[in-house]
Amino acid sequence: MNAKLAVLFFLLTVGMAMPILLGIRSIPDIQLPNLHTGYQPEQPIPYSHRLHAGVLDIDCQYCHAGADQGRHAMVPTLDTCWNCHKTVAGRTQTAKEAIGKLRQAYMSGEGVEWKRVHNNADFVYFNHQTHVRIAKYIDADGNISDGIDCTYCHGDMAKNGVAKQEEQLAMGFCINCHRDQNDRHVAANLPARAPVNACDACHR
Amino acid sequence: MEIRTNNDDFSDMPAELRQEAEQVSKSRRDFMKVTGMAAMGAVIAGCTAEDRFVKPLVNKPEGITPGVVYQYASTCQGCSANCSTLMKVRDGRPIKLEGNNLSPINGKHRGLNIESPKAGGLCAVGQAQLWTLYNPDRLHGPRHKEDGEVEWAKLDAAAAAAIKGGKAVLLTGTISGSSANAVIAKLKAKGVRHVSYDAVSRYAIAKAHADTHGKSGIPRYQFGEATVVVTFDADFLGTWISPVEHARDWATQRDLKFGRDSMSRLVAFEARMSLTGANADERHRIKDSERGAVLVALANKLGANLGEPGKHSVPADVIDKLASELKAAGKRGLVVSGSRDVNEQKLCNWINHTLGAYGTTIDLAAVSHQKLGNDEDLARLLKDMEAGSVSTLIVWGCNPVYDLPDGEKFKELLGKVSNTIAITLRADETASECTWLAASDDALESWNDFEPVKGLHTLAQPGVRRLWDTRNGFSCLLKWIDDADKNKDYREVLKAHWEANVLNGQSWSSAVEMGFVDRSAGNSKTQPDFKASGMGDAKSAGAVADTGALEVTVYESYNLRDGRHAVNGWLQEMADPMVRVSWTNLALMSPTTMEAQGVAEGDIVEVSADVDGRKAVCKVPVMRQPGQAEGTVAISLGYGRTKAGPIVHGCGTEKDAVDPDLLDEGVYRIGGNAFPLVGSKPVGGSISKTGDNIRLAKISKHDSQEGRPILKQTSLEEWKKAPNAGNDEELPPKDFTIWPKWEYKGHKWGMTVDLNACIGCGACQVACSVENNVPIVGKEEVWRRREMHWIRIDAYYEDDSPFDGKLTNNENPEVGFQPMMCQHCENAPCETVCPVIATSHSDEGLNVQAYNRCIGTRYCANNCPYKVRRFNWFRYEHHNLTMNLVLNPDVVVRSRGVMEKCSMCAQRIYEGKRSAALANEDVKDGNIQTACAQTCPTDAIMFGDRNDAKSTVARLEKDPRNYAVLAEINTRPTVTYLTKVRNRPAKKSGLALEHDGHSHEEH
Repeated sequence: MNAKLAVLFFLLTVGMAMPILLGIRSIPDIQLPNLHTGYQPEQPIPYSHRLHAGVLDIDCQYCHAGADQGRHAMVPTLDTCWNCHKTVAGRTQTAKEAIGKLRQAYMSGEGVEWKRVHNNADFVYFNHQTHVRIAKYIDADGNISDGIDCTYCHGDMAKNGVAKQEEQLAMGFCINCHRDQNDRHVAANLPARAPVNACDACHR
Repeated sequence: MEIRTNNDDFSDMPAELRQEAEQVSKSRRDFMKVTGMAAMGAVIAGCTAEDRFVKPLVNKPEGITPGVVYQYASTCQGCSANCSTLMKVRDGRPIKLEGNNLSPINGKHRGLNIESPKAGGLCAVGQAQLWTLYNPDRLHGPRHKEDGEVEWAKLDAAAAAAIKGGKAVLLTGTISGSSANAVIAKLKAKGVRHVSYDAVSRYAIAKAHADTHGKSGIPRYQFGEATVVVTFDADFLGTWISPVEHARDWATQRDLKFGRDSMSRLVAFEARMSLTGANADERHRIKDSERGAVLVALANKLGANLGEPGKHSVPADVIDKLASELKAAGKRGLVVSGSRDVNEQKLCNWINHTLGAYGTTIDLAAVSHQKLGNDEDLARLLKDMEAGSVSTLIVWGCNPVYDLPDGEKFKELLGKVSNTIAITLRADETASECTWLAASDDALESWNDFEPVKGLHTLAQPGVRRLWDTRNGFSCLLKWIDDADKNKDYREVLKAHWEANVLNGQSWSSAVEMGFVDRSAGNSKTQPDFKASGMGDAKSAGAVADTGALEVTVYESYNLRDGRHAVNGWLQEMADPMVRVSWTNLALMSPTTMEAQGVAEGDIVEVSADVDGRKAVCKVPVMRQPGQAEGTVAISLGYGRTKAGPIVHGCGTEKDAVDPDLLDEGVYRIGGNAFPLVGSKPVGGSISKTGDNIRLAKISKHDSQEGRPILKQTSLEEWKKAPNAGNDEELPPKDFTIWPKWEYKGHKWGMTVDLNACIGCGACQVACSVENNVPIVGKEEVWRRREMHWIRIDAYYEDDSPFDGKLTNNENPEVGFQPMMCQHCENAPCETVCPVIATSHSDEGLNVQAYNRCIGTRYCANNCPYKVRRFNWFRYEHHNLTMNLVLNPDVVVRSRGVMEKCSMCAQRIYEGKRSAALANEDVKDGNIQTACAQTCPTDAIMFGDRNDAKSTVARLEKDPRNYAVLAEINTRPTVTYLTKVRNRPAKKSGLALEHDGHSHEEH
């Protein structure tokens, strides 16, 4: 056995033994923080973005009304759902059951505990208002639009059923856009509105 | 620096951690194994995708969006000055208190000629009030002394029956509000007697005015009108009556920015070194017992014929000069005294009347209601209790067992009262002696009203729903007297009263929005006439009592005030502004007196005296105070509480008791109670060593600049000759640098501190801690120089003699204060040594720190010439869920092993930029304020954009007083200072001495 093979064999052994040594049973659970791309947990009520945002074409901010107000886009309060569902009871059996759960949660005042899909680390400060209402987005051709489209970070939610994280949302994802946009803002002579590249933009 | 020779590996840890570590560490190898495994486990746990939950409300409250800050106007109840505040409320909980800029008491709208549209001053105590609200040791519901928790109904029935039984007394602190007094009047109608007193009494002022002007009341002092102020131990910049208002007004007369060229003069006569004395242009050390004699001598020079006063230590030429200065100032002169002696106050009244000051610097027509306590009523109450003619006593908002000079006696007298009820936040010294404890709302949970000065009605509204089963004190009283309003929420009662009596047609909602209604325009401007007959035997104050070798003087502490804030960790850690020792009060003496008494720093001594026929003792550690009158010992009030509860949540150490004997029975005592030493006359005392010695938690170990120009200062005379006086040293060339040349295309944030305006009060320090989640570390850790404050206030003691390598001598030094925070250098020494680039320069001129990137090498702190970086040696406790509500959600809670420092309130900068962008305009100067600049009562700290030519900081760059600290090392800080100018003649040897090449001892 030559030396190279020996090293390879050693590394493989160690690599396979490590999880056992460390007492890990299910390897797929290991993910780096904030790389939960594809995370689509089961929700207490199987709310479908495809139906509401896609087929019915309800504006994102009808429900996520905080997106242009402040830091949180807000998971809507139940009265928002109830605005429509007091008269919409659903056609299919699945829908009827789901809306039944909603009715129960709203009427009893218990509320619904959703699973958070998009989680930033605790040391990251992200403000929806800044991105949705204040920022200008400049595309590669220099076209300027007001606000950054929700789909830029959240993907096309209208194609998913239950909410799913589409993008990585790690620092690279943020800083790449900040850098590009900063350059394009300077090129477009809009330095005052350029996104900040300094650490304290997100870490404070 | 002390070299530690302890072989104990864990000696640096707080007790609990040490125990844990000692158990683990049977051998170092075991310890490493265990921690290594734990670290592995932590890594794995951190990498596992865990579900996080979000539960929205069922119905969204109108106009409230999660994560958005709303401001509500209210009134600060930290002391009876009652400044107006704005509560920043987010997600239903107050996270910060700020001064209301529109308030006539503490707003800065009429202040200096700089832009500060959003700032209203608030002192350190006001900033720290959130702690009281969230402190989980409050009473969680009504209690009975023996039975423990009870139902409100049971307590109500007992209280109602007791009041019905007659001979009931309500004992409170100052109650000034219109609606509040209406409730008290209802009680009086039911036969309940109302007695109010102030633990730190100013009754002598009211009493003296009753005699000399026929009007009992404390006038409203207008320091902004005065050109010459003489203070006899009245610490009006620190604690006296309405300190934020007085400091703001006084500072307007000290401003030399933007073409102003005159300053008022402040002359102080005092025994201890007070904040006011430290800021005085001329300071004379006298014992309290000499105060009356000096006043008589001064009055004589101004034309009174009071006969020769007793022997005092102030030279005649000083009095002559002062008298002529006051004469020249005329009605713009002002003499104030902190004395409890009515005759001394009458002498002040006479002098002020002679100067014509009533109507300009003193307003006796629109009086202050900030201290309404009546000492005579209190004395009568004590007599009646003694005689057994009080059968019910309701104690509310005061703590007589602790803060009366003879508290022990009061405790005995409580036993003679059959029904005792306390309306209280906690089972304090008095409440725990009462039968019934009615758990009261915190000031931030309840409606209330105040009238701090005549005609100015202020409102307090709740910023949060009640945290516990507590009740508004007024609701309790109304219930107990079976009033018609007994089942109404107190808001309804208050509103109805205001609509009928205060609002005068104005809408209730506008009053709530503003937080106050100013009806003072209707006040009479006519000052009551001076009645010479009222002077009585005032000249008897000129007699000087012989108090022996050591005279005792007590004073209200700057942080704990009369002791009601003893539970407040922020204030405990804030430290005394003069000697910079936290977590205890001290027996302060001048170095010479210490030598004469044979005591050293840190010795625990018993200061005993015969006060008004009582034997009073106070056990405290000794500390040197340069500038204190010889032969005096000064002790601050407010410490030595025995029933303040576990003092600190959020701090690992509770071993903070000064007195080891008091550690048993779960009682922790911080400092010694000096209230027993409060007497009607200055008394002599004696000191005896207990043999114990403690390590003092000093925030600053050094009080000299060693002749270097760090805090630059000059005199008005020199400044008038050359506006760069004191700031004229030549700097080395700045062209050579290894740093890149920064270009700031957008904003370039900067800060300028006017050392002329800084009075050293410490409000900025507490405001910073609240805003930025700065942990408190406790006494042990402060002693290890591990305090976490992002902004510290250096106090420099300087005297005429050239620096000789020793601590400041004990003559009469001049004190200067210099706030020191991260200087945000362009050529930052910290940035170049960070191995992981956790600290870097932002394109807006700030030095930013990414905590999650920091690995804790501490190279940056070692390389920082300003020593402003703070390291988290521990993960400071944040596991009390109630206490955690105090945290600012916009700022990270830093973890162990991470370096942190001033961020120039990055979150506030981004918030300001965001609101400007929303309004589609540029950031206006003054619209972004750091927490320190926002709260500064004197606007000493100014923040703005140096790239905006119209901004205050940019305009001040051209001021010849503008300088950067340690400019010679070319760090190019974005924080600059303005030279301190004192209104006194030039001294022969300048204070900003060239370094004279002495070798320095290490202290």
